[in-house]
Amino acid sequence: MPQRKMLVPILAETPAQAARAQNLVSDMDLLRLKTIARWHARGLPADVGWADLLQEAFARVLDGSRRQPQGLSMVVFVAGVMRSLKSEHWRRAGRELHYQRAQAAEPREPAPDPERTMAALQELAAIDRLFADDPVVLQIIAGIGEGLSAEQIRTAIGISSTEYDSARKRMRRVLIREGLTCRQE
Amino acid sequence: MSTRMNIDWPQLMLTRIAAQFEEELLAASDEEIIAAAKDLGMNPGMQGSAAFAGIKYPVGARQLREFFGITDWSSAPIEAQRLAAARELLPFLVARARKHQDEK
Repeated sequence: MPQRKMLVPILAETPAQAARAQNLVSDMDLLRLKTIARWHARGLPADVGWADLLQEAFARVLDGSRRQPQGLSMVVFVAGVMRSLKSEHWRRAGRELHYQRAQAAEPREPAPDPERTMAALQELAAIDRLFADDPVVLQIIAGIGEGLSAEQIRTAIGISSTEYDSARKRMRRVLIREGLTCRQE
Repeated sequence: MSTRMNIDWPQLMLTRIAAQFEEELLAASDEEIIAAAKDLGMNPGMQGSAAFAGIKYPVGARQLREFFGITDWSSAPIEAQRLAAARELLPFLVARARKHQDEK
């Protein structure tokens, strides 16, 4: 994150080093978190990579600025911290935009954040492309985007719960593959 | 419907989708992760597997840039162009949404 303070009381060059410092997660959980980090980082500016996001999340956990709630597994907790860091980034960007507009004496009516809107539109298009070969999964994703429940989506598309679960498995496999691929952004 | 709501929908949709993707990935079994890695020709059981690129060892363009001290390996100029284009486009979209709202 652009304005980060140094957080980890260790010299960690990679997220794994940060995590390993206190045996926080297993190798498989690291892979799980890598795939999640890649999804969360996609809507962020180009200079913030998924590895930065993941490392920052571990750093916040290690320095105690984020405390793990009882009963929540470390992998779920770190994923939540990444989500929260992403929101934090956009909140900060929004405040900066508001400040710039105030300085320029522009009207103070609520206005959209062009960077965030454009990033979201690009990301939605990328998701469409990723699942272009699977129309059922695309319909499910569209339903999720509209805020529909699984039951509502199944009814709208007209598929059984078995077909729905099967489509979700296909979706998950594509998501994992996309998250593990060596391409770096 | 306000102009703001017209403009904000992509973010809202994306937030919902990303939350579901996160849930799906958290629910993925070890076997599913290994199978997906094998689809890509990776073997997570192997030391230095490509699956751990970026987590156990640095491979990202940014990390390499920092390692080699090279500053011009960046997609930042492309990003800047994209954002400049967005800034030009957005007032038009906002004006159109307002016009649409007034007509209603």
